[in-house]
Amino acid sequence: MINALVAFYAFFLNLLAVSIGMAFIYGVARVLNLAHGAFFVLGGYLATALITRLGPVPGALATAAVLAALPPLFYLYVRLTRNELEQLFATYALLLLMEGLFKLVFGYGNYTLADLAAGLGAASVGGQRVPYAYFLAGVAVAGLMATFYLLLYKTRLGLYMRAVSDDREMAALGVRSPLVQHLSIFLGIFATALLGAVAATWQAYTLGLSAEVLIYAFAALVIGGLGNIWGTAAASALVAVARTAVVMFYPELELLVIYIAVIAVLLIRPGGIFTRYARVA
Amino acid sequence: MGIAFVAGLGVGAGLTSLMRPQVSQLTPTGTATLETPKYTTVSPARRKEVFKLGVVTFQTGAASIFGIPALNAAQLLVDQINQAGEILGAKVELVVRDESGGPDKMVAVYRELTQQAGVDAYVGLISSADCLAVAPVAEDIGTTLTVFFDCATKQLVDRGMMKKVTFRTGGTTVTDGVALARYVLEVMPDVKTVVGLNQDYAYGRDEWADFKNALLTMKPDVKVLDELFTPLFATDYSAQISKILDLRPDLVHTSLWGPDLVNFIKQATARGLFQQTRVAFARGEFGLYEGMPDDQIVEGPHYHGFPDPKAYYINRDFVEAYISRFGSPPPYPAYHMANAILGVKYAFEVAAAVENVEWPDLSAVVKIFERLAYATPGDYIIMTPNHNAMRGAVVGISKGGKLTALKYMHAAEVNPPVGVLSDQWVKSL
Repeated sequence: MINALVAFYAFFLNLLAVSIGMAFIYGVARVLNLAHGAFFVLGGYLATALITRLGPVPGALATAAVLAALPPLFYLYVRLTRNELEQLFATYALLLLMEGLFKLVFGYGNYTLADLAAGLGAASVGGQRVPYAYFLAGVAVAGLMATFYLLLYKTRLGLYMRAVSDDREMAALGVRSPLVQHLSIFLGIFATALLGAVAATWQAYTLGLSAEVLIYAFAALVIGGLGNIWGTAAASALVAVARTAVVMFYPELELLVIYIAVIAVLLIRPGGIFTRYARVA
Repeated sequence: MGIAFVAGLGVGAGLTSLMRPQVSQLTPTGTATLETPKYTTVSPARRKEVFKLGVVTFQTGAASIFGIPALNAAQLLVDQINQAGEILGAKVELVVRDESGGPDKMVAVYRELTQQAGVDAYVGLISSADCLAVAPVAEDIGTTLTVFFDCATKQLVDRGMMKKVTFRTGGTTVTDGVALARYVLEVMPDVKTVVGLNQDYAYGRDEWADFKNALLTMKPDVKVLDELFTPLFATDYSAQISKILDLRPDLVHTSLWGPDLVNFIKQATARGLFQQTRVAFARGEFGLYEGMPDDQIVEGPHYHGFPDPKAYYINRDFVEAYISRFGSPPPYPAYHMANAILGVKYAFEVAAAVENVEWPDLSAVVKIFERLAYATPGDYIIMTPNHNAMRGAVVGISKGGKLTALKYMHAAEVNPPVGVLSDQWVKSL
């Protein structure tokens, strides 16, 4: 039972980490970022490279500094596009471009902080080893979610973001919508890359992962409702439960379970399980 | 009979060149292998200036972890070959293509390389699906010596797909499975329970089926507790690890590779799986550089410590040259590439010698290659009339990122004899 819970928890964190940033950007700015996975992977690569070279604290700070410089670049890039179709092309091109850069800069090896994380040791829960790094990663992800919550519901900027998210045209009457959208792109990209860095404590980064990550992110997004970050979080939990149960009881289905969930949601509630009302595009 | 005899002479000549007496040399070098045997010839000069060698491996995506070392080895060897007399006096030029894009694209790339770029030989393909798609096309076109250097599907031999110009200089998933099962039974004669953890696609399923069949044939009382299959490039193995921890099997079999192998090793180490259960890694050689825990059973199709570089100079020189140029020891795809490229070189050279011409035609090269045995950095490769290599396998126990208790399984004990179907043979073990 403990082992099943750990499995659920680890996969839940995983899904949350890959999907939240994307949900946030789509929710507020309506940018469907196909390069999302590349930013996640970039966070992992950078954190591993810098932390192994500079040590944990300076490395983490350097990573955060480099990552903070990224979103403006991305914003400038996305601004060149005029509509959603161009956005898809542009962000997909960016994905390929970034993969090329990863190969150039980081080579073809595996990058991971798992050894460092394993050095933290493990707690014994019910006779099973649960690595402390899992708790730490949980704290980091929860912290980020809390930050999002405080930002969205306790600040004026958050109010604007929710307004823009609900109805861009109406919000434009009192809010500078483009500015709010830019800020949300900044935040979403930064959070994605940061979560990629956190995920380096349990997974390895290598070439080609950017596109793989995208599949999981999309699944969580579609099930939770496009752009709905709380829905995405709930969807992550749901998928994690389903996947853990499948592996425990009928492992043959594992490859399919996530797709079955997505297809079921699209058939039954195309707007996403956790969307209260369908948006009119 | 006649041909076999002449080919044997040719092979002998080739081998003599690499075993040339080195009395005057204080530090004999393995690269003597790469020198072209010189023959006087009476036929008119049809010598080529350039030997175009098409090489196709993954250069992008997650499988580039295999493709890039393989291409590294190709570049290294081609430079060495060109310095040591080229191939029959023709300078070898690489024409490189990326394997990403799937089987249909690989067929298109094959046509492009052979019909437009005009390569003299084609070496390539890591993915089994790509090999299965390209083989019939290569046979159909029939103009170019085609050597698959890595893909491990047994279907190529079982379905007789390599008959004319297509060869593979490596073993199959059967080689992996039987070698691993034999080794497991040697070091764990009392193994009772096993769980499989493999990727959910043709390669992973074949690796598991071949290992399971071999193990159960040789020790029928072993119980398979579960068969787990994970999506390719899953980053999280916590559910599988949990299940294995709950099932407590004596042994886990896995053929994970690339990032999946690394992720599994890291996550399983953190959860203490290796203290409870021993894992047999069919493609674990890569894991040795990625924190492979001690005391696990690891098979590399090749391992840079075997044959012992101290004793076997060809390997010593290859390892040293590879490390000095690329900064790390050659992983097994680099050896696979060497097996293929040296095979091409020797097939052309021996064919020219046997036919006594400056440049052999394809049919002579094919006839020779079917019966060629030649030295490479990682092994002696024995080609067979079914166009597949009889390749041995290296298995050992991991210790401090190295393989100890190395055992080389002879090619004849881990591959079905020519003409016998893989499954039939495994059941007869």
